Parts: sequence; structure tokens; C-alpha cells
Amino acid sequence: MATVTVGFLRRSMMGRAVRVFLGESKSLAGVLVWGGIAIVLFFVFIAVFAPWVAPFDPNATVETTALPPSSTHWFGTNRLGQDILSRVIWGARIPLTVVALSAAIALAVGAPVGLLSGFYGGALDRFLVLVMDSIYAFPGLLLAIVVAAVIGPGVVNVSLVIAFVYAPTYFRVIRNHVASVKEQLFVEAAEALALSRTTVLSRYILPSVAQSIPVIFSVSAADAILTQAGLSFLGLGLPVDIPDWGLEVSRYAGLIREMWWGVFFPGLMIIILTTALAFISEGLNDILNPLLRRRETR
Amino acid sequence: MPRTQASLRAYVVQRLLLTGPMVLILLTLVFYFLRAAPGDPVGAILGEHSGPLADSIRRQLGLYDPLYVQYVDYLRRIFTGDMGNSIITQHSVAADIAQRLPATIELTVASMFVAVLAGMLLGVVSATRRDRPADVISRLVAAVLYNTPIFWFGIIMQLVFAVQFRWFDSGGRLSAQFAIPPRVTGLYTIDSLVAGHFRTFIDAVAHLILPALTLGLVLAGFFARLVRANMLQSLQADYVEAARARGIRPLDVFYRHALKNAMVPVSTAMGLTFAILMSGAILTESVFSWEGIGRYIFTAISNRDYPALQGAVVYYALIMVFLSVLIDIFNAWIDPRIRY
Amino acid sequence: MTLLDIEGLNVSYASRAGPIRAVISADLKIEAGQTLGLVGESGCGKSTLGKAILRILPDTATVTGSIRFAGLDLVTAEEPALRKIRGRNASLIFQDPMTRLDPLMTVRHHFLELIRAHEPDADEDDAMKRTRRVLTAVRIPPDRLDQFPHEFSGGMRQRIMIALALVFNPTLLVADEPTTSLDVIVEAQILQLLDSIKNEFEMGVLLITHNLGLIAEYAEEMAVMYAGHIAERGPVRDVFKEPLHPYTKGLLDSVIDLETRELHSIPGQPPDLLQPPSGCPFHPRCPSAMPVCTGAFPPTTRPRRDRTVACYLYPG
Ligand code: SF4
Repeated sequence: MATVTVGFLRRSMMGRAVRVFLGESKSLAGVLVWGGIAIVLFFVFIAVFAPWVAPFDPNATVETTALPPSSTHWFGTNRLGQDILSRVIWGARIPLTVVALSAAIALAVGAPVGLLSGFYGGALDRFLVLVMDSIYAFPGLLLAIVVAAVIGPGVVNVSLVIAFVYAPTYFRVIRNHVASVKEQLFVEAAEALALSRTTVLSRYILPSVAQSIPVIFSVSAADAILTQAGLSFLGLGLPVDIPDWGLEVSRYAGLIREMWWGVFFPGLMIIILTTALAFISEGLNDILNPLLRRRETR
Repeated sequence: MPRTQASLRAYVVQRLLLTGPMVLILLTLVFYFLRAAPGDPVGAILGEHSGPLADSIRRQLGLYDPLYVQYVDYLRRIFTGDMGNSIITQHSVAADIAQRLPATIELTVASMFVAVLAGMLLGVVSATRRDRPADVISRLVAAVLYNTPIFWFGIIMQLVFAVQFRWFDSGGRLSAQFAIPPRVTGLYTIDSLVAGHFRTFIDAVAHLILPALTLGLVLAGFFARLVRANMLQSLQADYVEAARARGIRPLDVFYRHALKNAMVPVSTAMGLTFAILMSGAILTESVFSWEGIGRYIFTAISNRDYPALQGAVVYYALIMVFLSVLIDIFNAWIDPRIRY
Repeated sequence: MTLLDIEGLNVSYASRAGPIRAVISADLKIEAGQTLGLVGESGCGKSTLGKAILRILPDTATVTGSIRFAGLDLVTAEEPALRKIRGRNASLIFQDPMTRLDPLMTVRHHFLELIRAHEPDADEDDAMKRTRRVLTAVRIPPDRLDQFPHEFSGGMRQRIMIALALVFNPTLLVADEPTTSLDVIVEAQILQLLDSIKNEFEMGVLLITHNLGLIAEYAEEMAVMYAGHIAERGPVRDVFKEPLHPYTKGLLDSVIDLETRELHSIPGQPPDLLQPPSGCPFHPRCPSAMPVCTGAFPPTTRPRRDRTVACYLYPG
């Protein structure tokens, strides 16, 4: 059984990547990637199984007032007597949903447009690059504020907002990648063989470009979570009663003197999750970017 | 020398010509989002209400005109500096913003100072001690800093340094007992010095430190990564080895060749840095009650004051474009390879 | 007069996969006014040897043995003493002139920096006078002093590198593949320039190359390097007339047979320095290999006058 699995892994692309990362597991980059993945999976786990993991109902009044952290309430309770640990556990659902949904939307829009723009070039390409660069250069949170103010609150809407902010990133990276792959020999050869453009695009360019997608995702995921939290904090993301990290911070910001735990723990969760995502992207970058690897000989 | 100067001038002209379309694209985007998006803004502001109030506001905003008329009108107003009036304060948005701009400048400049200083320090320490404990620690610090939600960081800073230790003041730009110094630049720290009000100056600085540290340290995390990556490359560069082979002292090699070359991509990324800075400023100002454009936007959102929001966004866009042009010209001046 | 005397030089790099031995007990001598050609395939350790002389190897490298030059042993010398020698008594020019000049510095600043590094009190007029002199010697118009490196062609940049190397009339010039990235015409110009400068300045030159043609034309002595070892050493004319080491024979055959100046027609792969073959590292590719060759590295012998070779075909 084990040998079958190993044999399968050898053959697949996935397997090659996995072996590279297993091989790196002792290096700093490998530790970063694996540690980051473990933390993110942990959050995914508590988010999915929140009803079973959370010790209390996040919306139930279980104490009479705000209490500091104790053995019953690890993160304390808020003024409504709700258990903050439980709210933090349920709160993991929003950022994770938003990040997944927004990445899917940004990819679905940014990738094909980038692909075609880079492949066909010309005036449309130049125009799209200018538009996307203008958006890209604009402060992300401000852009999110404008869009969110128009389309209103809700998890799906926030995902749309975040997708709008990060679609240009997908567009840029993929467009530039396509433009450079296009110059390479095997594509020229394929064109010399008079293969149709669709064939060249799907068989030669797409597979090469697909590799950059996880990298863009890991780079923009942490930013996406921070932007979502920022929107929540400004009161632009979600209906007020939903447990969400950014929203919790904003709700108790004014009460920081009386109950620091109401602000501290939700924010801490944001940091842990975003830092874990950043570790993944930084580790990937170290492993995949040979330019930065140490020159040992020469 | 005259040759290089001429090419720099050509570059500046070319760069300025590119700015036109960029400004237009941003303005158009803002217009379409705030005016033409499905579900008109007045509905968004007033909830589901319609009736005479909504009607009169729509008429006031020209929302019954055909779209292109609205668009042309919108551009015309922007170029004459007229952003309309705030629904809440009834002041002209342009005046409101002009009044708050110096606060934002004061905050962002001070933050940038913190960010560059702390970021360079972390990045250089990291790059020169690659893969050693100091590098691991610096990278960890940088990653955590950059990934900290600014608003949370600001609140915690307030709690620790203003509430607990009472080292700094927090909230606003000046304590109530001090008069605002006569306006020269609008930056209280500078104006108070110009006026010779030394105690006011101390108070203004005490108010500035926490917000500037909050925003600056988060940005320092971003800087540190950038500096580290570029230092690693430039330390391995061929010209660095060649300089060493000519007997140049290691410190000179480091500063004159490696660090200077590493700064080129860092300053090219300055546009992005400013974008992050401006995003961060909105949250920082909200947390510290800093009466700048960021807080103006925050208030406009809470009050559903839609013309104020639009005006502030347009201003932000213009500032961003202006800064990016400035940065590009600065880069061309530093790096002779950009201009030709 | 012996200018540079290298004895038992070892250089190894620490790497994650274990030490890489790039130079193994190498002996070399260069006389004043003489050009020694050091030839070998890429990765054989010849560049490492060149950089080891000026001690500008990365921190991962360990150097043992002795390099006697200018009254010092450069292996044990302290950094400040080494720094005084670099760029002053001994200069190094590199393979890729395109990336060797700091892109943010004008040519003038490169010279000024160099001169001030060795003579902190030098005044600018004097420094520029010397700069103009060397620039003229390498035929770069001195009025281009205020231009940046990217404004020059590859050949011109290499001339600037040479000019930088000559400012202090060094006694030793290490030229590491100085013309590999340049086209043939520029290559000839640069090498002729180096040759005339060598005579004019009475320098010893270590010419590192993979191109035997250049050695035949510009060197008096030569050494052949394989997998970190000096395989064979001797006067160029003698070695070309009667190569002793099977590897040298292979190199020369490939030149003559194919009339190319590249070294790629010896069958087999250059060895992996991380796991070199046992005994004589050439044995997997050697047409004359014997059972003894896989055991230990062959001793270096002196079968002819002025010639040394490390091969079991030539016992003591
Ligand atoms: S020692 Fe043996 S293997 Fe090595 S070159 Fe001589 S004959 Fe060939």
C-alpha cells in the first residue's frame, strides 16, 4: 500500500512539490512553510468544527457580566456575559470564508483576463495594464471602503470587495508571467508548428502559469485577512451581531480600560493567522526563488 | 553631465504625460463606484427610504441627469476644486479636507521616519547575519509587525503606554490646555516651533509619538522584508566582490556599494509603501482620534456622508498619483539606468 | 625572480551536503614578467584558485597551505595587510565585465574610491591625473569619466576594469576568464592589450581560461587543472608538443581534431566535486586507466626538465 502511494507520488507534479518540501523540512524555509500550514489548518479545523470545539454558545449569556480570563473562561467574558473564547472560535469562520471566497473570485476574474491580455498583447493589453496598475497603486483599504460603502455589508459582499482589491495582483502576476513565457522557445516552436492559439495557450502556457497561483494566493491571503478585519473595525463589513475578530476588537475598543481581554484575544488571533500565512509565503519564496539562495561555491 | 541632465528632464516629461491617463482612470473608477453602481448611493445612505427627502437629495446630486452629463459635470467640478458639500457639516468638502490634510501629512511623515529607521535596521541585521539567530529573530519580528492589525496595535499601544505607564498622551493632536499654534504649515510640531511655543511643541510631539510608532512599526515590518531581500542580492553582487578585490574597506563596500544598490528596488517600491501607509493612516487616525483625512473618511462612513467620502477618496487618489510621480522622478535621479 | 609561490594550497567550501574540495594541494609558481596559463573545464576549481590568491573567497571557504607573495604568506596574513595588497600589489579582473562595475557609480568615482582606499590623502587632481593615464593606456577616452557603466559596451567595461587594475602598477595580475563573455574581435584586442601592458609594467599574469588557444598565444608557462588537482605543469611549448597527462592529451586532441577552441569532446562528465571519484579523479574518463588508478591519488613526479605531472603512467 505504502509503495503504491509512493509510486503515485513520484509520478505526479504534486508529488514532486511534496518531495521538494519534505526535503526542505529541516531548513528554515521548510520549517516556515510547514509551521504555517499547521497553524492555518488548526484554524480551519476550529472554524469548521466550531459547534463542537467551542465550550459555550457564542451568543448565549453564560455569565452576568464581563469577567477577566479564568479557568472556566480562558479569554474572559464580555459585558453581555458571552464567552470570548467561544466567540473567537466562531469568529475564525468569517476571515477564513472571506479569504477563500475572495481568492476564488479574484482568481476567476484576474487570471483569465491576465492570461488573454498577456497572450494577445496589443492596445487592449496596454489599456488593461494601465487600469490594473492604477487600482493596484491605490491604497487597498481605501478601495475596499469605497466598494463596501456601495455594495453594503455581508460575508459574500465583503468577499467581493476583497476580490476587487486583489484581482489586479492576480492579473499583474499572471499577465507578466504569460508575456515572458510567450517569449520562450517552446512556445515559439509550438507556433512554428502552426498549432492553434487555443492549443498553445492551454497546452503550453497554462500549465506553466498555473504554478504562480499558489504563490500569489499565499502572498495576498494575509493582506486579505487584514483588509477584512480593517473593514469590520470601521463598521463596514458585517452585521453587528456576528462573531468576527475585527468586529470584536472594534466593539470593545472603547472599553479597553475596563476589559482589555475583549480586545486583546481577537486581535491576537488575527496576528497568529496572518503571520502563519506570511510564513508560508516567505518559505515558498525562499524555496522557489533560486536567486536568493546562498551561493555556496564559485 | 549635460547629457544625463537632458535625459532626466525627458524622463520627467514622459512620466508626467503618463499621469494624465492614470488620474482619469482613478477618477472614473471612483465615479462609477459611487454614482453609477447598482442601488444608487442615496438609497444606500438613507436605507430603504424614498420619498421627498431622498428625491431632493437625488436632485441636488444631479442623479436624474443622464450618466455622461453627471460624469462630465463630476470631472469639471474636480478640476475646479469643487467637491460639493458635506451632507453632515454642510461645509465644502474641499475646505474640510484642506483643513485636515496637514494632520495626515504630519502623521505619515513621522511614521515613514519610524518605518525607514526601524525597517532598515531590521533588514540590514537580517541580511548581514543570514540564517543565524539574529536573522531568524529579525525576520520573525518583521513578519509579526507587518501582519499585526494596525487598529489593534494602536489600541494596545494606548493601553500600555498611555493608560498603564502614562508616558505619552493619546487621542487628538494636542491637550486641551494648549492653544493651537498659529497656522503656518498646519503641522503642529512645526508651527509651535515657529511660534516659539516650546511647551506646545512638547505636547504635540507627545501626542504624535504613539500614532507614529503604531503606523511606523507596522510599516517597518514591510520595509525590513524588502531591505533584507535586496541586501541579500546586492551583497552577493559581482561588483561587491570586485570592490573587495580592489582592497576597498568592508564598511565602505557595505555602505557605498551593497546598501546603496539595495536601496534602489526599495525606493522603487516606495509607491506601494505609500499605498500601505495611506491605508494604515485611515485606521491609525480612527484609533487615535487624529483629525486627518483618514478620520474624516471614517466619520463620513459612519454618518453615511457620501459627498464627503467621495471628495476624500478623490483627494487621496490625487495625492497618491502625485506621490508616485515624485517617487519615480526621485528614482530616476538615483538610478541612472532608469532614464534613457 | 619568483613573484608568486603557491605550495600545498587547499580550498574547501562548507555546504549543507558536506565539504566541497575545490582546490587540493596545488603547487604553482609565477616569475616576474611571465604569464602562467591555468586551464581546465568549468567547475574544476581554477576560479577558486584565482580568488584564493587575493583571499576574497566567501566565508564558507577554508584555505590552507601557503601563498607567498610580496614578502607575505597570504594564507596566514591578517585582513588589513591583505587589503593593502588587493588592488595595489595584486589585481584581479573577472569574466563578466557587465556586472563588475557598480551601476550607480560613475567611472570617475570608481577610480577615486580605489585611489582613496589605498592613499587616503591623495588629492583629487592628482588622482584624476593618474586615472587619465591608465584610461589612455587602455584606450578609453578620458572625457567619458563622468558616464555610468551602462553607457559603455562590454569590451569597454573590461578595459575600464583593466585600467582599475593598473592604477597602482601591480606586480601580479590575475585575469579570470577575462574575455569569455566578449566577442572574438574584442577578445583579441583585450588580450593584446594585456600582453603589451604586461611587458610595459613587468607584471606577472595568471591567465585563467578554459580556452587552450589563448594559452598557446599568450602564456609562457601553463598548468592544467582537473577536479581541484594540478594535473600537469610545464612550459607551454613543451606541453603542447608532448602532453604527458592523459587529460591534457584529451584536451589537445579535442582542439586539433575539431578545430574548435572549446573543451567538450572528452567523453564522460566532469566530476562532481562533492563526491569525486576515488584515486585519480580522471580515471572514469581516462583511456589509459589502470587498476592502481582507483586506489590513491597519484604522486606528482618530474619526468622531464621543468615538467611535473600527477599520473601513474609516470612513476618517479
Ligand atoms: S593516473 Fe591513471 S587514471 Fe589518472 S590520468 Fe593517469 S592513467 Fe589516467
